[in-house]
Amino acid sequence: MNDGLKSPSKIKVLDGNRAAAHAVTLCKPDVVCAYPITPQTDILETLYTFHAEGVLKAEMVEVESEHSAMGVLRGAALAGGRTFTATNSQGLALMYENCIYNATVRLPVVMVNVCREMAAPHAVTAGEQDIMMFKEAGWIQIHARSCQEIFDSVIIAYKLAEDPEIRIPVVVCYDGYFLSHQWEPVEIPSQEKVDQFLPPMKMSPSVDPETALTFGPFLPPDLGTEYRYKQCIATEMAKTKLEEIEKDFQELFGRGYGGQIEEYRTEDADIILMALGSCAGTAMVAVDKKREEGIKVGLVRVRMFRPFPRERVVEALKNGKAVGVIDRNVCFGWNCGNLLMELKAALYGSGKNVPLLNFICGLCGSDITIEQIEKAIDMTATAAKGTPYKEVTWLDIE
Amino acid sequence: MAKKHLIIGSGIAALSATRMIRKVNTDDEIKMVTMEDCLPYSPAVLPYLISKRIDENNISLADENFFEKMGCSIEKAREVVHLRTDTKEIVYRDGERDSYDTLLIASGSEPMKPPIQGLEEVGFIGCHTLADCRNIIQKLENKKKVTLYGAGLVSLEIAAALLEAGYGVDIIARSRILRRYFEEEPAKIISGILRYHGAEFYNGKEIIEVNRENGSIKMELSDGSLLASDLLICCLGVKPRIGFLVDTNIKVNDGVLVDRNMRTNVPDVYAAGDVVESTDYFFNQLGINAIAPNAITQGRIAGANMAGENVADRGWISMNVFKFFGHTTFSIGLPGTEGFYTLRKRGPEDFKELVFKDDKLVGARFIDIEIDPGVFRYLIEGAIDVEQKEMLFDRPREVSLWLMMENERGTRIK
Amino acid sequence: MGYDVLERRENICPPGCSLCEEACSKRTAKMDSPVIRHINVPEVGYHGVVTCTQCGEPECMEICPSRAILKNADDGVVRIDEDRCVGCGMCTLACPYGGLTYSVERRKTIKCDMCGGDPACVKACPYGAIDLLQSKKIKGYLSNQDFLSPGTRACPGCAAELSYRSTLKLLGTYKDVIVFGCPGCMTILMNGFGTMPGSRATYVSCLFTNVFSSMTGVYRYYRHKGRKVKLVAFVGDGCVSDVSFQTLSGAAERGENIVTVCYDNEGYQNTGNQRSSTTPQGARTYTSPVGITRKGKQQNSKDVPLIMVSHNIPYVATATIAYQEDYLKKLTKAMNVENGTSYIHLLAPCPPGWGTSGDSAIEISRLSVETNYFPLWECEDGKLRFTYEPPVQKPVKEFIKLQGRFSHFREKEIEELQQSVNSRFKHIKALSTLG
Repeated sequence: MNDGLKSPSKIKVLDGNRAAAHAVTLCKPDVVCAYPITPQTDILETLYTFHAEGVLKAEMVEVESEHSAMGVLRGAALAGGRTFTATNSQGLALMYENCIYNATVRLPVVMVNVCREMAAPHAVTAGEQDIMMFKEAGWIQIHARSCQEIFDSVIIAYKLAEDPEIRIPVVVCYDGYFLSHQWEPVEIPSQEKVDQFLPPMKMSPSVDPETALTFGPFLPPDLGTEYRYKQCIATEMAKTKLEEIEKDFQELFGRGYGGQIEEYRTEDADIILMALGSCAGTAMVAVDKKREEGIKVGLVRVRMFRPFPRERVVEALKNGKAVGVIDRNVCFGWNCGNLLMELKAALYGSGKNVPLLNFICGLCGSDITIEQIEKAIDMTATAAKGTPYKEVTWLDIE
Repeated sequence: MAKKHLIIGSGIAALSATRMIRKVNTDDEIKMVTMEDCLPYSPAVLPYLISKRIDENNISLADENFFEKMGCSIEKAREVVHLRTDTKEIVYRDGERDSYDTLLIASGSEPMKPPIQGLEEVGFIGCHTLADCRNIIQKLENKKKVTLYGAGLVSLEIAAALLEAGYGVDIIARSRILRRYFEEEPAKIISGILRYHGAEFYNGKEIIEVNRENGSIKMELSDGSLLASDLLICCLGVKPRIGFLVDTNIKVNDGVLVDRNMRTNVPDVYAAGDVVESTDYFFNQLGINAIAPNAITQGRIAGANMAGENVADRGWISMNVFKFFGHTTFSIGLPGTEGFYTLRKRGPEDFKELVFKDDKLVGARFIDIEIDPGVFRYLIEGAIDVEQKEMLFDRPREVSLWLMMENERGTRIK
Repeated sequence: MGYDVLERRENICPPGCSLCEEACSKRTAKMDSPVIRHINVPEVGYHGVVTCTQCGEPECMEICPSRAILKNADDGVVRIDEDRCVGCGMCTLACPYGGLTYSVERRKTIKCDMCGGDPACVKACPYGAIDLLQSKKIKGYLSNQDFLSPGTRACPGCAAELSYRSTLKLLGTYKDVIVFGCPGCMTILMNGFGTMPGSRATYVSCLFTNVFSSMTGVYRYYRHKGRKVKLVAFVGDGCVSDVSFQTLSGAAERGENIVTVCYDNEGYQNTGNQRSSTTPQGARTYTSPVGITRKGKQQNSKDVPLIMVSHNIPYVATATIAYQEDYLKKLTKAMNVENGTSYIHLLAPCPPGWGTSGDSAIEISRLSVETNYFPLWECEDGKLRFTYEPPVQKPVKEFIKLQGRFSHFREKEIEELQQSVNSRFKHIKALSTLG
């Protein structure tokens, strides 16, 4: 299992979890601390195997809950360490307060979220409800749709999080089961190449007995406000920073994903699909099929969900006459999906007032099929002609 | 307002008083005057000068540092011959005077001179002062035999010292040794040991007349027998040195009379130590207790009261420890007379005795039994209840320590 | 300033043992009489050791006719100068504690001289009956620099604040200390405000819930880097006993090398006196009020230090500020643990929360121990022993009558509390007898 790490670039067939674990190991974290939760457990098993074999030289901490896991990372990162954890759904919810804290205290933690449905119902299946709940945590979110992208995104995530202008934690997300347990060829670069791209972490100030600093004092209103303001500035800056980093990544490793969004056949598209995660791959097949039928349809895959790539999305939709938004989640209180809400907010003020259709599907582990997406394309295309349309369609129910 | 405390004497009572005054008060002036021309020392160390266990360089109890630290001045070789309590002054032999706000008479004691014919010519030699001791040591050169007149503790200490130094020793006792502390039976153990080491005893005899003949001293005893030796040392006890108080209004008996606060009849005049005649612990009867522990206790009480406190003495208790040739005797408190519950055991070479009045220990005696004298003193002085009398008698060392520990901890439920 | 002294504990040594005497007699190159003695009086169930107590004003020193006995000003040890000692034995008449011994070999009196600071008897005793009490170190701390920033705020008479202040004085003598705190009463002091730190120490403010996980992270990172750091949490019962108990338990089970000091003011006092799981049964708080339907906290409290003992960690202790030396001694032991977690449970009376006057915290702290409401013990590697036992157990009424939170207690409740105190004490006492 580990021989891929000891020799120059090799292609291995890995599932999403193992891809993440390989990438983490190459990034040489100081402290790894995670609590097992389906379907993330393979990440842990792989990392522990690497550790036992002496390949991964990190402090492994077997905590008693996810809350503690993020707490441990907090401590280690405050002291100047590179850290890693992985979780999803209930675990993500449990560690929530520590996550907000780590984001607002500006720690460059990297986490993998293997997206899973939130209970209830107790589905233990793929779902995006957990990561949507996480929108307000202040983290940078990157969503992957292939095992290679998972691998690459972890490395990019460290670079982004540790950038002195950013210093905001990053969560790399991918769909549980659909990617976590999906085996695909992954090119694994050499340690030297990763070292070249990702230098050792420097953190200042850090918790150190010699400095006698107080970390986390009470703040009066003026300082507190300034604190928030600076966070917002840095978060916003992450957008362009990602593009820069990915350019460097492309140069060194020969792969890129388009930065904040991935565009597929959008240059001349009338109908644009928007999607997040692994279903985008399925959507690309549907797009190709519909193109053959003559529908000029394209796909925008949101890669960086937070901060929301407002400018790039508006730019990508410039020729679109209607947009079909695929949501594998619901936005409680708005009776639609989250991606739709984000899009609406992004488009406001852009002068673009086109039909936006929402297709809720793939919840609780159900497949998102090519047929479903084809239907979505059809409905969007119909709406583009000016026909009255239903804003939200639950593809599995209706 | 800072007071001036004047102390006559530089012995143990005087030193204890000085320490206590300073402890209570940091501003008052303290002045010590002594007729001796040396820094303070204890008479108890003198026998060991004779046996050469210690030399003169190592005997001072208080050096210049002490006096400086205490803020106390000392005037040596100044004999006080009179007091003017009306003008609050002392008068030295040379006529000079010194004033005081409070006065402590701690002039100690002097040896009792026996009425022996010819003693003046032969020369009375006691062993109470450093001068006495130097005299003895000088006279001992090239001598072989010493006679000690008296068989009290001081005499026996000197006897042991002389025996240790290799001299032959005769001890003449008017009755028998240590009459005040031990009964006849246990006393025999002590004399037996001394005899073993070379002493000869002449009990129940007095010296009537002495003569110098061919460089040695001839003694005629009360039974008509004759003894000869190179040196005669008289240790027949001490009496308070109160001669200089004869024309004063200080009330004296055999010693200076004081109340429980060590006050004499004259305001601002106190007395402590060997010079004092005060009431004892058990019977409230007047008596003299010229021993070091007493001097310390009384010195402290006098000093405290002189500095403005109000503390009282509980009364003196007779006690002593005698170590000789690896043996130890210890005696404290009352003898086992009628009315007291006494436990007594005389072994072939040792002896123990406990004396109780109801549940309180009032006396104890041990010869060559391993115990801590101070712990028994603690039990008696503290009037600690002892229910387990037989146990204490059976294993005196351990049980006395336990009783002390329990009392210290305050868990003794009465 | 204090000196090192020998601390002796009674009824611990087995009756037949004389290891201390044997070690003492071999303390110098030549054999000598021991100056420590074991005494055994089985009829009264007493066995202990006796030796010189190095008195502050030694009677032996004052009576010695050749001034052979002196108390050294630097180390406080009372020594006999053998050259000056004449062997008269007068000192034995002055010492009430049995501290002097006659050496038959030398024909002089000898006594304990603390073996130059490394007593042979302490090393020889496997039962812990003799210990070297280094009070100079402990008393010395209290004259150390104060590490709290000036102007720190706490309620008048707050025992936790005094405890924290003392703690910092001791921690300041260590290198590489990082202090951790979380929301609670002490946060007001510890967190600092704006750009002003609460104390002159590296301090990490945590959430109520992530103290011990944060400490784990810091500890593990430094361990990874090969650097030793000493991490100390000073947190309340709300955190330790309730909200963050899980994380403390997890850290203890993993053996993270951290020190936790819990100041237990028996309630969530920072938020205005609500009940916690250490609040005693029947006590009044705002979430356990006294009225018609209920009279105070319905449930019994949980014994957190005993729970920590069950975690099999190297060191657990109880302490309270009225016994400051005892606490600092325990904190020193906790700081010296290298192979796992240590835990100290400090009872910190809270005048506003407990309904007492602002000047009563120390008295209440003392009474808590004297009534056995809060016994002082330590457990080292699973062996539990009392560090102080009051000679007489005062009735718990003395403890509660000073506190408004018990003002509604009548005979029945007082008796119930007394029973509870007695049975808990019995339980701990039984544990202390296990070998």
